[in-house]
Amino acid sequence: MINSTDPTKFELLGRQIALQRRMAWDLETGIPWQLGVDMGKFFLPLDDASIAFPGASAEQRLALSQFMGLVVNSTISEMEDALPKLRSTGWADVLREYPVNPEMTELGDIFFDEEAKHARAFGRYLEAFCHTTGVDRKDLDSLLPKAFGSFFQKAITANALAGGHAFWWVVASVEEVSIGIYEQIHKNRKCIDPLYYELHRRHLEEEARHANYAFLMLNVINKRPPSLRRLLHKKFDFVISQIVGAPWVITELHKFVNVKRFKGVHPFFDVLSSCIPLYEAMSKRELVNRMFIAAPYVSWLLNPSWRTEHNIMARKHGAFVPPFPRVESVDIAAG
Amino acid sequence: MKTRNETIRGLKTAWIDAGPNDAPILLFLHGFPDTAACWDRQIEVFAKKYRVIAPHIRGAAESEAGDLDRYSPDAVALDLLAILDMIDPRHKQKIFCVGHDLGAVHAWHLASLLQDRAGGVAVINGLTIRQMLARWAKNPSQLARSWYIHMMQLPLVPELLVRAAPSRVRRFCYDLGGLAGKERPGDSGSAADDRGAMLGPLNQYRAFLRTVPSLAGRRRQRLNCPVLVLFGESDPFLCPPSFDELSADARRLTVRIIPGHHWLHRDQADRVNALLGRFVTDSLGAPAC
Repeated sequence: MINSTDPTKFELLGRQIALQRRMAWDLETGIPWQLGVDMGKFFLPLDDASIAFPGASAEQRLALSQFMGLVVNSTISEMEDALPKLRSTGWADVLREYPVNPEMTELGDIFFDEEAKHARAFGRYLEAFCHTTGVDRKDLDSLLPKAFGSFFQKAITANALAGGHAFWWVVASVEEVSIGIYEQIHKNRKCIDPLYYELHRRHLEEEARHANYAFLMLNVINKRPPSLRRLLHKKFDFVISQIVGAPWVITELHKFVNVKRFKGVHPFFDVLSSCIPLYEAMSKRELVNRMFIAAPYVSWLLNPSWRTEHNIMARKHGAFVPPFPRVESVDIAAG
Repeated sequence: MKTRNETIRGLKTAWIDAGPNDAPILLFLHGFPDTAACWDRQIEVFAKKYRVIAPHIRGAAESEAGDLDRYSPDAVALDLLAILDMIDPRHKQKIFCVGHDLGAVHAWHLASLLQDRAGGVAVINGLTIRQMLARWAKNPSQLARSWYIHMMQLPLVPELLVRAAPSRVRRFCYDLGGLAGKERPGDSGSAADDRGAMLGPLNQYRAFLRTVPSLAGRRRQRLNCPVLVLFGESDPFLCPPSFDELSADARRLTVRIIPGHHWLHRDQADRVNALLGRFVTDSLGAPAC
């Protein structure tokens, strides 16, 4: 569900503000933390056909699903945690410089507050996971994606400081991917850890309500009369967001191979370590094919052709969209 | 609703006066090439609760033309203060100024002179002279959109055009501003009316540029009263303003960008009336009626 993306329709935006305020959930009481993590269940639906590790056993698939679930949580958490750091440069300064209605400011305030809450919620799930399994949080964190201090974060910040809006393209893509991930979780909810499901359900509720905000910002920015600098940003910020985002995703996912270091530390790591030969057995061509086309979740982040709304908006704004191969449509079954 | 004709500072001046005498005053100031008749859709609504005063600016309709000095913001403000003193001699009522286009220059300037009497300002697709000059300095797009202001500085040429084809020139202005195919404000179809609406008032553009050197010596006044800025986003004459751009002139500022063109109060009358109504009520309090 994408609400109005026209920043001048302030009556609709006013209704959206009222709805978001009324329906906002509380981090403590909105998610049933008391459920704990059920390690017998999947976190992300991952079947044999779509898995990035062909030939994995049932036990390996379960551990990979759980690890991928944690990677997804950590990625969303890192992205949403990075947002407030760009609040001033990427948002407040833009709203002061561009003609906007007051609802845009209010919606933005709610948006940033919600994102900070989501980042805390996903972080808390990681804690719950460590608490249940006895996995050391530091060991786990060393395998999960980190945005802070990365080249990706620095490049997006530099782009925003130069007046660009690659930041909002990144936000738009994360919003759309996180909604797509929930759809898969929802379809397989019986096999999914109930706490993981609830967390993503609550996350989706607010994401769906504010999913239009990045597009609203992009519309505000692109309505400004053109200058050479603005034209360059309009044309290339989309592709910049992809160029700096893709290596970050690949590098952070590659941290998985470090799980070898933790072999013997915890059974969870042992099962994951046993998957590395499957990963290494794949040819580079096969790996690239899976990452950009076949493997769900990862290919959604790396390949913009999966993100319909994102693509429509990029083309509408006249952004340069590189010809990416089409992502295979998926209907993943857990187990 | 009646039209009053009085001699103000030696020249005949006309204004529309509507609504209860003891209510707060809404002063509607029109732009070019309008007359006070362009506010008819606002007068109809607001005169039920407020005293609505809509002067024909110097030279427009029944207001007598003057020499160039009588079109400067200071001279127009003195005319408006004299009108306000005439209708509210004891200064009992708050005054809320609404200006469109060039009327925005006068509304903003008058509010700074009214000090505590000013209850608020609403500006529709208009900028102050300072704001326009700042734009010209750094925004080539606005400089290009202001071609008509530059043309108005030419001696005799605008007058010759207006005298030769008054109705066509006026219609051209409205069509360009987004009213093509729509009802035009105060359109009586009379060439004399069209000529009257433009011939004197076009001197405002010249008088405004004459005041530029004096602005350098004047301190920029930041209004204390609430200010609402409504802007049609597709105005061919003015790019919509940002909050930063206007906040130097108003402490309590609300900027609203609306889908529409230059004559927002005509082609989006209901929307403008609703927004204006809420803002006036918030600024002045609900009128007793």
